[in-house]
Amino acid sequence: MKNLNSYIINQEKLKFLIFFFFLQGCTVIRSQIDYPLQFDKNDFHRDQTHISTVLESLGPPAKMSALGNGVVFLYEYTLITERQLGVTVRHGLLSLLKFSHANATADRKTLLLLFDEKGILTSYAFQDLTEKVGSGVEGSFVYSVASLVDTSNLEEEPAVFQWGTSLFKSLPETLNVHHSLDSGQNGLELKGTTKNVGQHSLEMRSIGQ
Amino acid sequence: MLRMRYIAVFIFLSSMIFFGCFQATEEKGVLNQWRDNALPPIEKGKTTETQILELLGPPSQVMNLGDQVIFYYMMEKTEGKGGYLLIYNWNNKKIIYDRAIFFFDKNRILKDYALSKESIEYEKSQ
Repeated sequence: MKNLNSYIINQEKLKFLIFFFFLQGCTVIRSQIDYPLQFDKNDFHRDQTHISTVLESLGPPAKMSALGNGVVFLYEYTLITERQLGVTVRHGLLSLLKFSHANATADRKTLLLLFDEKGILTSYAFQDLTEKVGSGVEGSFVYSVASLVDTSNLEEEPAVFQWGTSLFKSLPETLNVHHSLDSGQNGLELKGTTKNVGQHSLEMRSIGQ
Repeated sequence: MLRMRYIAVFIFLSSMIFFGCFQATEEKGVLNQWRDNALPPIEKGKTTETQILELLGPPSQVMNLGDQVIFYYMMEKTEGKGGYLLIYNWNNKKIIYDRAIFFFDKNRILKDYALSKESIEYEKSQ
């Protein structure tokens, strides 16, 4: 009986060592953009709440735009977490290669508020969700650490930081600039919205851009 | 049994030897002078558009809303931290925004304003 117990314990230890022997370069990559929204729907009432109350409660929005005679505010919080599992084969030159599998999720809190010309809240929408952003597989040199999931569409920097580069946009994009959703005059869009629909489709970007 | 222990110690030490870490910060946008405690008080119904421009400088964005004008100031700070071991790596990035928004009426008098709840420490420029 004692021998059997000792055998089982040794087997467990062996599994543990094998596990650590094959695992290599497991990685967690996190990106937090903006601060988590403290939204309480009891603080906001349609056709009653004034824009000043919202500003006092939540501060300036991440994005805003004129909308008819009114205005629209957008608050966004994003936390992207990418988890990679890396394994290697410890045999000759193969030990210099790492094979990784990655999965990424995004925790998003989004609040959209629409006000009329008097600054009264006409409607709002709040969304708090965790969504899968994508996954990826790679084979690489053992010491490389890189993101395998493209989450750049959720990490776009604010349009105000793109003044210079906006001069080098392609012609269809430049011609569409008067209808841009980043100008604050033509409405706005959520992070991660595909560029192949709506207003941006006029810019004839290739898929993936 | 002893051999197993040596292997375990070897793996642990290897992961310590192949160690790297980093910390980086990056700032973008306008200087967040609205966090300066020495700033004169900003008052709704009194402060003018010109005074805000004199105090805070050019805004990140100027918007037109009917007969109102909006000044939108923004500073972005990116903090990055990471550690690289043989077995496990991590990389954390946090982007903080410090914002200020000012609404002026048709007479260019401050109608409303707000500062973001999250702030970046103000460092006076040299």
